[in-house]
Amino acid sequence: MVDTLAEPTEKQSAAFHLKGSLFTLTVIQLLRSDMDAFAKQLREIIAQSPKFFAHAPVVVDLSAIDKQINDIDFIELNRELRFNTLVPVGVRGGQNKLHDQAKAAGLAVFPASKAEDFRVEKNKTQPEKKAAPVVKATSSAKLVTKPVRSGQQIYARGGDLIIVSTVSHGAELLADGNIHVYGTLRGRALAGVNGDDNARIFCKILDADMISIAGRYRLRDEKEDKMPQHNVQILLKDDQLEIAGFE
Amino acid sequence: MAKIIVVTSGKGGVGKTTTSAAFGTGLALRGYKTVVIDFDVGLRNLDLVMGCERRVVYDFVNVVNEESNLTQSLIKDKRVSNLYILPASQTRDKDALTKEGVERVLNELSKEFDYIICDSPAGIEKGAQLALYFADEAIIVTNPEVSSVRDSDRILGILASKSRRSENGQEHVKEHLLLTRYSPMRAERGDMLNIQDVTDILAIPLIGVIPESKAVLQASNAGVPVILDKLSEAGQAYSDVVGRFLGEERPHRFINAQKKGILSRIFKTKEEETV
Repeated sequence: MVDTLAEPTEKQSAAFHLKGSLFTLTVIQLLRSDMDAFAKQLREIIAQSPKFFAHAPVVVDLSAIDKQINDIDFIELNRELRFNTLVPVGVRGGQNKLHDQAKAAGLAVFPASKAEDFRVEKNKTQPEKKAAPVVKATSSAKLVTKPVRSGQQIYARGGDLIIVSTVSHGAELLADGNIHVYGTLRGRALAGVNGDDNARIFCKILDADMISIAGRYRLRDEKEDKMPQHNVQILLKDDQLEIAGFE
Repeated sequence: MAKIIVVTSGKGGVGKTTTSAAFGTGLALRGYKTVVIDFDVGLRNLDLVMGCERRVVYDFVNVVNEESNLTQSLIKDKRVSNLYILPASQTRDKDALTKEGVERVLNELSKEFDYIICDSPAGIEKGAQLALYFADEAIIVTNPEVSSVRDSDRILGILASKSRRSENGQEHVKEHLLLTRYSPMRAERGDMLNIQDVTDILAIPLIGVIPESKAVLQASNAGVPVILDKLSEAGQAYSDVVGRFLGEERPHRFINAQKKGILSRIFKTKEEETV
């Protein structure tokens, strides 16, 4: 999955270049072959934050599917994902017999993941989501070195967001993982937007309009805290946002 | 090849046209062949500020639409040699400009001129986006108040994402902050943002500070770029800006409130009372 070839012999008149590249994709780990349950849960999740899922490419991970299961209705899976504005790209892991069915449904087959961290975590704090196709951070962080200006929105899908500059009032940072700002954070910062309670926001100077972790947010108006604050982290403690220093 | 400089701000009324006129005139005074283009189609002002409104025959839109050629449309300044103006159309709107047409005109001007100054309209819509699209450098005109700073921040974001340089993955458009209508006294009192506040938020290099000055309004009304008023503080400050732009070391002037003597305390000038 490294950058590979750019065909060296093509002429000026070539209609396209062939290139390899690396992408961050959202992975849906399928736990059962029950399509009705899948559809129900997917719709619930999408309804929570439709914007984040709009036209997102997804890979369906089959590694957690019971080996006894011989059939998965990939046509229906495909249809359900597309109905919810997701773009299914392919499958990975699981049994070969399922791969053939996936191919027949027009999906690509990716090699199984070697990393352990793709496994669905049994999240104690969110029992209602136990059987969920959890959207997890699967890639390295997104790095931004230029100031983030008013009106700009940056989303680090599936990972951390690192800003090595200032974030202006009216700018918005979103990340599935943590957010790090090595400058002044004046705009909005939303970490763990797909429900990761453990996400944190770290910043050099906090002067934010809004901060949020996993859906719990605080506006500037509500704060009795003094702003700006230097060298702080924001985390969820007992379901409350807490602004803390570093010990 | 000419260098294309956009004068922009997001917010209106902060001094874009005043700056375009003064800066363009300043470059021409230094011997560079300079043209100032008014991108504010429908709300043409540059010709007034530069005192050539009665000499407009063909305008920028005519050239873009190939209804006239550049020689017919360019107005040569009567005071400063090397200085030309390409006025906007007053009867059309921003849709009269096309990216292809603007590019063709800029390419043609590039062959002859050293500097092309694009005087952007206010806003972030088509006119403003076209004015900044082809820029190599940008002068961000900002007043020391929060809404102007916010709008400048927004336009900097557009500059970073929607300019030709960013779309082609070239080196970033070089940004310069120009703080205008600055009153050191009011900044000191805390009525106005100070220089540090603004540079902290916008995080781009400061090319100059133009003090609030009656000379600016007088110059606009008289149709004489304020940089030609060598006695005024604003005129001198604009000369400094041109110098810094050309790489000279010039300390910032007119940025500290003057300590008043006993006489001036007693005989308050009218200006101080009104500001």
